[in-house]
Amino acid sequence: MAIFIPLVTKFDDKGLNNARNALSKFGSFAADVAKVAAAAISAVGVASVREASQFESSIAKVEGLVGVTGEELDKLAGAARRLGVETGKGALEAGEGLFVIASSGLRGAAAIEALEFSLKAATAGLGETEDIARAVSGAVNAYGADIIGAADATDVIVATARAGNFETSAFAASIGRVLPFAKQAGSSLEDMGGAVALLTRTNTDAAQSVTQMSALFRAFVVPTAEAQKALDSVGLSAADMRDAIANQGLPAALDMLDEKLGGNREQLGRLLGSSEASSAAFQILDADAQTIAETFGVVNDAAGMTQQAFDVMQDTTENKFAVAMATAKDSLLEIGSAILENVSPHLDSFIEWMEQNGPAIETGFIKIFDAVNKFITSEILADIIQAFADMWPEIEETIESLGNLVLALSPLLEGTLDNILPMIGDMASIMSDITFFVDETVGSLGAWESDSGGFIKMLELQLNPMLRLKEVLSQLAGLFDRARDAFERFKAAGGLNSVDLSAINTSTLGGRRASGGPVAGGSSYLVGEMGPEIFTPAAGGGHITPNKSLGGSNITINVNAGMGANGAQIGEQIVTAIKRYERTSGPVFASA
Amino acid sequence: MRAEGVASVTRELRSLDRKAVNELRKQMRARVVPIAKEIAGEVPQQAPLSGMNHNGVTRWTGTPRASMSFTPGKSRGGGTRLLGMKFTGGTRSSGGIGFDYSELAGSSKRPGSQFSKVYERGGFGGQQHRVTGQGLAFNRGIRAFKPIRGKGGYFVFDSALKKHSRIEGMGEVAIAQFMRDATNDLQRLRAR
Repeated sequence: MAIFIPLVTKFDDKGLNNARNALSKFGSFAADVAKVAAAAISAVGVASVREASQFESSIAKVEGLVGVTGEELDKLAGAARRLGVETGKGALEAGEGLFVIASSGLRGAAAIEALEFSLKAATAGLGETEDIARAVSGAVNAYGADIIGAADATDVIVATARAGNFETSAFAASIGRVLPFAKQAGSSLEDMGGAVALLTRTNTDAAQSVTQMSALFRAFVVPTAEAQKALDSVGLSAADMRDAIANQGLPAALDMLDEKLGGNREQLGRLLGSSEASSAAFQILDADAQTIAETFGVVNDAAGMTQQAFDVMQDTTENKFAVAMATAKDSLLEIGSAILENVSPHLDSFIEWMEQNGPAIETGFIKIFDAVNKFITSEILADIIQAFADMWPEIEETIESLGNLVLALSPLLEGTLDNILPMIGDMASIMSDITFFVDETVGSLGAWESDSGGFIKMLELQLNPMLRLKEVLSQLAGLFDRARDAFERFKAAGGLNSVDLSAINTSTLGGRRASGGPVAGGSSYLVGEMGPEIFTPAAGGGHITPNKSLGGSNITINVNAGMGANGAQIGEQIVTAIKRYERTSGPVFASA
Repeated sequence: MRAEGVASVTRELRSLDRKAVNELRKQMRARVVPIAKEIAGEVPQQAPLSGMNHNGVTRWTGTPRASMSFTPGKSRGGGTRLLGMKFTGGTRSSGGIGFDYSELAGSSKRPGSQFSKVYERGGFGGQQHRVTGQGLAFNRGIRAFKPIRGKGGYFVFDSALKKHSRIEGMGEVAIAQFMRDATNDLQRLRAR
C-alpha cells in the first residue's frame, strides 16, 4: 500500500476544464474558433510562403549582386536546395551560403563543392554555414583552387577545430584575416591550422590565435628594417625564412631561426616586431614533440575529416530531425502557394459562417461543458452516488422507491437532453467543417508526408486543440445519444405510467402505510403497531400477516457477565446489552 | 507535458543511447527524491490518534518511506502516471500502514459492518464482535489533528500541494540538466 502523488501525468488531466477555460478566454467564441482554424491552416501557408520567399531572396542576391544568371544560376539554386535538405540545414541556409561562395568568385563545380563541405562542416558543429563558407572560399581563393580544393580546405578547418581548444564558429569567422599573410609567408593552410590549434591550447581563443599567427607571418612577409638587420646579422633574409616555411614547415623554420639566433629569445622578439608574433613563435618553439604531433600532425593528416565528422552527426537524432524538417521545408517551397490557393476561399466562408452562427454555438458550448463539468469535476457525481447508496435499502424494500428515483431523475434527463442534443448536432456540423480544412491541408502535403515525420508532428501539434475538441465532442455526442435513446425508449414505453404496481403485488409490497393513507385492493402494504406486519386488502376484507410470520433471524447478544455477579447486576447488563443492540439494529421484541 | 511528447522523446533517447532514459530517470530521482524526503519528514513522529500506538498492522511508524516513480512507457493497465512521488508507512504483511490509512482518512465510502459474523470461540458458539474500521471517530480525530483544506490526503499530499511550484521547478531543472548533459555528450562526439 502506498500513497502516490502524481507530478506529471501522461494525459492532460485538466481535460474539459482546460478546453472550456481556453475557449472562455476568447472575447468572441465565433471569431476565435475561426482564429484557431485559421492559425492551423495558415501555419502551413505562412511557413511555406516565408520559406519560399526567403530562399528566392537569397538566390535573387546571387543573381543581382553577384551576377550569376541563367542556367548556371538554376544549377546553383538546385544544388543549394538539394544539399540543404541532405545535410539538414535547409534550403534557406544553403542559399545564404551559396551567396557568400558566389560572392567570393567561385563558380560551377568548385562553388557547389565549397557549399557541400561548408554545409557538412556546419552540420558537424563547426559553426554557421555562412561563416564556414566564407572561410572555405577565402582559403580556396587565397591559395588557388588548383592548390587546395574546397573539400581539402574544409578538412583543414575541421582538423584545426579537432586539434585545438576553441569555439569553432569564432575560428571559421576569423580565419580569413590570416590567410593572405599565411599564403605570402609560404605557409600551407595545414601549417597555419596546426599553429592556430597549438596556440588555442593555451589561450582557448581562436580569434586571438589568428591575430597572433597573422602577426607572425607578417613579420616574414613585410619585415621591419630592424628585422631585416637582425636576419642579416645571422646570414638570413625574409625570403629565406619564407622558403624555409614553405619547404620545411613552420615549426622547422622557426627552429632554424632560433638556432641561428643562438636561442636568444630577446633578439627573436625584436626581430618579429610585435608581442603577438613573439608570443606565437615562442609557443611553437617551446612545444614538445608530442604537442607538435597532436596539432600540426593532426591537421596535416586532415584528409576526409569533414566527411567523417558529418557521418557521425548524421546518425544522431538531432540531425535526423533536422533533415526531416529540411525535407518538409523544401516541400513547402513547392506547395506553399497551392495550399493558400486551395484553402483561403474555404477559410473565408468558414469565418463568415462562424460569425453568423457564433452566439448560438457559444451558448451550446457553455451548456455542454457546464453539464459535463458538473458530472465529472464537481461533487455532484459523488453526491448522486451517495444518494444511490442512501436510497438503496429503500429500493430493496419497495418498488415504489424505484418509481421515485426515476421521477427524480426524469427532469434531469429531460432538461439535459432537450438542451444539449440540438447543440451536439450543431457542433458535429462545425467539426465536420473543421475536419474538412484539416484533411484538405494535410492531404495537400501529399507524398512527402511519409518522409517528413517531424513536420507532420509539428502540424499535428498545431491542429491538436481542434482535434482534441473534436474527439471530446464526438465522445460526448455518443454519450448523449445513448442517454437519449434510453430515455426515448423509456418514454415510448409509457414512461412512469408503464410501472404497473398492481402487477407486482404478488411478490413485493405496494408501499408503507404505518402513518396512514389509502390502500388498493390486491396490493400488500407494510403496517404494524407491534412490529412490522403486512396488510393485504382483498374484496370483502383482507388479510394481515403477523410479524411473527414474516420470518426473521436469530439475534445473538453477548453479555459479558462474570460468574460472581449477582442476579440484579446480570439483569442490568442484559437490559443494557439489549438497549445497545436496539439503538443500532432495531427492536428486539415486539412491544405489547 | 503530454504523453505523446514524452513517449517520442524517450524513444529518441533510446535510439540515441539505450542508457539515456535511465540517465533521465537518475536526473529526475536526484531532484525529486530529496523533496519527497523533505515532505515525508514533515509527517509527525507521534501518532495522530493515541489508539494507533500499537504493534499491529495499522500501527503508526512516523516518517514514511519516500521514493520516486518515473514510467515513460505505455501502461498495459491504462495508467496515466508519468512522474510521481510515492510514500508508504509499511506493508500489509509487515505492518505499519497506519500512515497510509491516516493519509487517506475519510476518503473511503465504505461504512463497514457493525458486527462481525457469528463464530465459535472457546467452545462457545454465537460469538460476535464489533467491527471498528475506519469510522467517523477516526476521520474526526485525523481532521482534528491535521486540519487541511480540500479533499486530498492529510499529510504528504497536503505538503506536496504547498510545494507544488517548487516540485514542478525541480522537474524542469532535471530535464534541463539532462538536456545540457546530452548536448555536451554530442559536442564531445563531434570533437572526436
